[in-house]
Amino acid sequence: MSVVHRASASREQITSRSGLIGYISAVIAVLVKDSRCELRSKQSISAVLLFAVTSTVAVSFTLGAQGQSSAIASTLLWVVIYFSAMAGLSRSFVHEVETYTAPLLKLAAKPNSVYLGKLAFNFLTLIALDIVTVPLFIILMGCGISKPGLFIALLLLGSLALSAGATMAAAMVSRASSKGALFAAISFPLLVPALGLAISGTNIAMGGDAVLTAANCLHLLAYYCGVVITASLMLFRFVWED
Amino acid sequence: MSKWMYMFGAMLIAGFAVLGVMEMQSATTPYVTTVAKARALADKPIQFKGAIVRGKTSYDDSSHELLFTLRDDKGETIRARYNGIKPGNFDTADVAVVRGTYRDGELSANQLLLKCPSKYKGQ
Amino acid sequence: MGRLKTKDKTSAIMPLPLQIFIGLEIAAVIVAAFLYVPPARGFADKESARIIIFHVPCAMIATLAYAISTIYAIAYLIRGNTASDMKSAASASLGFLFTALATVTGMIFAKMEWGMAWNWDPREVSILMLMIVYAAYFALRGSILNSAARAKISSVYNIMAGLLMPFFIFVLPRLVPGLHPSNTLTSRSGLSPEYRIALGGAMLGYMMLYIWILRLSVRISEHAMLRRRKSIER
Repeated sequence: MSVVHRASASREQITSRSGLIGYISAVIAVLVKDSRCELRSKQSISAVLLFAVTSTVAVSFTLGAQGQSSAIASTLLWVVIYFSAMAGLSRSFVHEVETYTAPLLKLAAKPNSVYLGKLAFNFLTLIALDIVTVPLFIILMGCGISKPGLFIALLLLGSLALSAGATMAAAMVSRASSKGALFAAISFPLLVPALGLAISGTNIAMGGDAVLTAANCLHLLAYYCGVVITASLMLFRFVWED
Repeated sequence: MSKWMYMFGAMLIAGFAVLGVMEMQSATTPYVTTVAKARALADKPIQFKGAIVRGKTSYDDSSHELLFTLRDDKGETIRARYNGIKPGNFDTADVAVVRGTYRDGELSANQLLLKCPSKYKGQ
Repeated sequence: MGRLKTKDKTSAIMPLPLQIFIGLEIAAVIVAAFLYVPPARGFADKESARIIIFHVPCAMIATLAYAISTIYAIAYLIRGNTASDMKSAASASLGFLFTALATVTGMIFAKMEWGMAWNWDPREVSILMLMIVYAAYFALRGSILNSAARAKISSVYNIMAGLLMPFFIFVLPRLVPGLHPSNTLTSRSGLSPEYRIALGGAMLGYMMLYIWILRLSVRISEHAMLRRRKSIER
């Protein structure tokens, strides 16, 4: 099986180097492996994109023609991104368990390397989603972006925050039995602060008003990412190792 | 992962939490530099920065009430009232940040922060 | 895990005099809430304020139960003994009960006082988030079959959610103005003496009830596990 072939080729690459370089190359190896598998089958990215595009169109069917306020538009944008993330991001771990490549990965790389690699992969998936969905959303909803720099910064940080929480949740759910619905149920409490902050910030970027200032939202999103990623790095091995 | 890494991680998380709390606090007391904005945010906690207008300060030693006037960015002046011991460097400071609320036409201060003059001239 | 007698006396879990005391004390609080405490001034329905004697301790014990559940989760990850995991799960289920009670009493009061059962007040949001976390926690526990994996994964989830809960419980209510009063408990004139006594009594009673039920449910889980082990050995 070519997947096994590729995985064992990376194993030699990983175990031969040590220290920080070995760590980083392990992370990159996991990312490259996942990207290769994904580009081959395009299962995860197509599910995510399909979901995002259909929900954007559905949302803008009734609401787009009327020109919605920035509060509604920002909320809907992040709801679409969030649910697309719920649809697609669990595959990073669930696929490993279902195709029995997980034990190999457990032997090949340290847990934190696996986590960071998967986090990077999920982040890139969300960025790809953003690149496709956001312009479509803006055009169909007819909402103006008064502060484009802030908007892009929020998209980046918000996607990082969503993928941080979702990656950990995906790892937890991969060992459970009812994976799909459980993933969304578990991620929601973890992601609510990030979602709220991203929506508030995007509201400001679209010209609206919020309790928090733009700087507040960006800082708090960054702190959220810091807390979640640090905690995940500390706790991931309990979820990953048997 | 060794115990020290966990300790370090826990401290990092605590650090982020502290930063987050500080961020929240500054979110609830917005920084205001004009009297007009202070008026718009009446009865809400704000931080008002202004230059101290000399010659209009009065301090009552017995009741510890300090009344002074601040000038904002646009040149408008506003009266401020602070209940507490007059800070030692009040007469030499030029800029003050008042944390309090705008009420009944004046600033009622809970906290008074003084900025020392930025140029240190010889006496 | 230590030997367990197959017949546990309830006094091993909570001494009999304390059991009687708890029962009498809570009964006294209930009676006091209706007969001793005067109707409150300034409320839409003056009698409705009595509910805070039950609502506030419920909410506090719910938060405490979650905190204890998280502490045991950390203890489990450090030490790996199943007893800690059992206590974590037991505290979480008890906390879920108290959270539900707090939400229901809160909604009853909100309906009587402001006309709407749910107002998106930040404290209401925090109790709702706590409920969702509990529900997700139990869904996660229920869906993992391997007991060691279940313990580890649910402990990790407990800790991760526990890191984010303080944001909702302590920070958000101070940030966004809401309907809940902020200083009633701590300021001098917030509560008249009768309310203070009744509230303190309810707090004490609920706390002791929580400890009692927690120990009881931990003991039941231990029994169940011992019985499973015995049946496997045979």
